[in-house]
Amino acid sequence: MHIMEGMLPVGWAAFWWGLTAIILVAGIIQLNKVVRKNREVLPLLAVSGAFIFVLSSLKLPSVTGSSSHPTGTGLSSFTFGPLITAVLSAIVLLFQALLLAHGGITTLGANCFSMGFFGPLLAYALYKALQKTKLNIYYTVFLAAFVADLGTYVVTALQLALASVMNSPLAISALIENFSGFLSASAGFLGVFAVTQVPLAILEGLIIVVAFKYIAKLKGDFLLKTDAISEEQLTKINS
Amino acid sequence: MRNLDDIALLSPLRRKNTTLKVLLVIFALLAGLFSSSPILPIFIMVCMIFATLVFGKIPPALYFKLFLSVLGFVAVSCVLFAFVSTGKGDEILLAIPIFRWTLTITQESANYAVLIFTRSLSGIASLFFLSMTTPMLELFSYFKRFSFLDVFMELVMLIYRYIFVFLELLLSIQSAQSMRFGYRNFKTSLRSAGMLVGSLFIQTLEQGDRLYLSMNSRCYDGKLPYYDAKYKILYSDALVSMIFVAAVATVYIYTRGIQFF
Repeated sequence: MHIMEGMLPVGWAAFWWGLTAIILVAGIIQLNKVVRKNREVLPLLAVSGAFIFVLSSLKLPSVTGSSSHPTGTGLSSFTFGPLITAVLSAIVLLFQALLLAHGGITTLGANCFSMGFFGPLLAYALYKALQKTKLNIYYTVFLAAFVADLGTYVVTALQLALASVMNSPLAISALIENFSGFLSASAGFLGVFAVTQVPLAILEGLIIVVAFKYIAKLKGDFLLKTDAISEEQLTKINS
Repeated sequence: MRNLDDIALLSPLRRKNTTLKVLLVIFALLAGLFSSSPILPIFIMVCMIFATLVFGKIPPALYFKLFLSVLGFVAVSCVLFAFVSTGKGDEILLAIPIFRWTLTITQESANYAVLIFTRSLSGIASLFFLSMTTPMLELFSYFKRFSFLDVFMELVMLIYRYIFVFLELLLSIQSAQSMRFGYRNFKTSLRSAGMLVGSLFIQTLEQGDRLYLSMNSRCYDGKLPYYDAKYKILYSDALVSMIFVAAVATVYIYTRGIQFF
């Protein structure tokens, strides 16, 4: 679920936009560097962006039929890293706002921070950490996708809860004064999200495991090249 | 998915100046956010719907179908806002006891939820106005002036193109799967969805290779040149825009304190 256009007060919209702008500038600098070094990457980046968009319009076999960003962004963050993934997500979110009126322009900063940066970063970090342990690769993939998905929704819930208590990020006194209000608002948003998002996160984790297995079987060399998998894990999957 | 871009390409407002349209929409979005009363967002929404339907000649049935499809999302969030953003000592309008807790809506939270709801609707109407009258290519050609964004804009154009290629691919794989009872029960659905995502990803990789080859064989040097149409601002356009801005300012000043509850 994206934060829709108009849901955040001006102060918060500006705050998240500012934060996202820093990430995007860093991402674009990295993007320019990567493309200058190896022009071959640009078409690949482009089709990955389209992949993220298309997956988010894929109806999962669930009650709510909600969108599945983490699947797309997760796969992209293994391949290109979280910063470039944030740039790709920003483009995708822009198209969703303009073509489907899903999300928005003023709330794009907040959405891009939670879905384009925080979630993929979490997935990337967890995957890299667990990859070194002896844990079965499928569990690793599942956990990375699951945690990234939940992380995204925790951030979204907190963004909404903060906006409902404080009019702008500068109104810290309002937060201190009404801290219990903030806690109950967070609990409210998290509770409602949990009903739909926890089953969805499990489902997405399972789907990405199946997809990962399929990719490893057919395009194992690609996963090897991007360090997403070790040679011995690949032979284990194929055996 | 009915594509808003197809509508934009045929729109009579397409040949209006892009900068003017973008600035008007940004003004409308920000004015909606700055308003403290729900009246102003409602006013902006009515203006935008009017402009899209009457000046843009969009069939109302199509327009409202698209509008309703996002309305549910907004409504759910706003009901949530009404329940959670309650402060201490506000006047309670409604209290629903559930087990040990009580869900309450106070006067303040109800007003806040209504404000957010109308802001959201005015934002959606404004975005619809922009995307139903301006094709994406024209919208983005504006940013090509900044050389820092060169690669970024290339990426935007290519992503835009490939969204439709993959959407078609996704739909055809999905219907092929469901024809073979791929979504018969939960377990097969899971497997089919996983395979769909996986094969889409592999297709993506292969398509990326092919795209690189085909672009290179057409002398691609890091820049996709295309015709950048420029439309002049007519006096009548400027007049209509100024009337809109003035009307928004007037409504803002006179309705500042008005609340529904």
